[in-house]
Amino acid sequence: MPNSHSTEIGADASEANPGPDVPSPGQLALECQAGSQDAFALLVAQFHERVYNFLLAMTGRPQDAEDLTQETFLKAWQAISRFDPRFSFSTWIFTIAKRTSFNHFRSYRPSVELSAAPEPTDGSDPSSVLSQDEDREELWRLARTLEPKHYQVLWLRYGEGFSVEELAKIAGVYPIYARVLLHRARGQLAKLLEPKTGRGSRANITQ
Amino acid sequence: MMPCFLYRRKLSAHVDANLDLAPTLQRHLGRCAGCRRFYEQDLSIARSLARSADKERVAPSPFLQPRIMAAIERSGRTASAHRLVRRLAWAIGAAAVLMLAVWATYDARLPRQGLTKPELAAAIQELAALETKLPNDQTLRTWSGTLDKPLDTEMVSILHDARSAAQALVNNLLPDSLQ
Repeated sequence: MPNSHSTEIGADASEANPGPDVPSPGQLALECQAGSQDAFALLVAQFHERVYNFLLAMTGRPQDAEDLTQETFLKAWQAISRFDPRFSFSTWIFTIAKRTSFNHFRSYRPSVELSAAPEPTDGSDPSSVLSQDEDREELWRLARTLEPKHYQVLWLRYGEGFSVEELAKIAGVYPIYARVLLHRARGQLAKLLEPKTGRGSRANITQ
Repeated sequence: MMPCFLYRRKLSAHVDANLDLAPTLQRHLGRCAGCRRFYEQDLSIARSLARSADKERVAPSPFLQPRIMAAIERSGRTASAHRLVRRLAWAIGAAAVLMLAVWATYDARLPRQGLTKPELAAAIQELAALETKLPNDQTLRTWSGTLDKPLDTEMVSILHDARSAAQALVNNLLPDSLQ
């Protein structure tokens, strides 16, 4: 019976130490507050790809994600004096990104053809359908078909490694509700997987 | 005994928080095949999502980063220009208010019977000059010897003229509220 899975899932690496020679995001933010645009350029270099991917998850459109990423960093630069260095910079920048994307393309979701999921063929065991790396990507393709709020929490938790408390702050919800959203999102994902793998075998298909 | 859906909420919370299972939950899983299956599913989905997230990432355009910095540079220049315009606007506004206040104060003191500002300034200067020419006691005694009328009569006339002058000044120079 599994009773431990630490280090496996979203290891809370949302603000990992970039290295001994590279200042931490908090230190860079302090330099930005003193007016250093060079320090902000380093922050952009560290975070723009992550923010872009988050906004891509939100909007589903690369061009919109790029525009919103630019807007997010512009807002961050203009509001850098209000950043509290006691808190995580990554949570702060993702919160700005979330607010920037709010109401933008809210109704737009890329449709994902479920039929594109690999079907069990040649009589192989359905429990192995998603067992290989390339098949695990299928999970995310299915995740994109979920409600935006569910996909958002899945991405923040497993894509970005934010803790439940951090992702709640970014999503603007209470942590208890963030847990409910995660619970429901995984449950819906399990239901989406069910027809492909057969009832009762879901436990194995993603391992 | 706690119903299974509550156990599942707890199990799900453990998956969220990367926690080891509490002994009570382990005991329940030992007894309940449904919850055990649920937990294994939940855990395996969470693990797979975490493992495969990197493949879900997409590299943005290589121009995105310079584009962001260019936008920040532009916003800095625009902000500087806006600050300058704001300062100029404040300066112009402050100067206008100051001039208005001076004008309003000065205008309230202007004579209302035909005197213009330059004329008033000239009159004030004349009055100031007259003050230096006022006779002292010795001069007055000398003058009194040459007067056609007694000194007291002359003084009454002088006082009468001074009162008229003061009245004219009050009427023309002081604001109505002070009169």
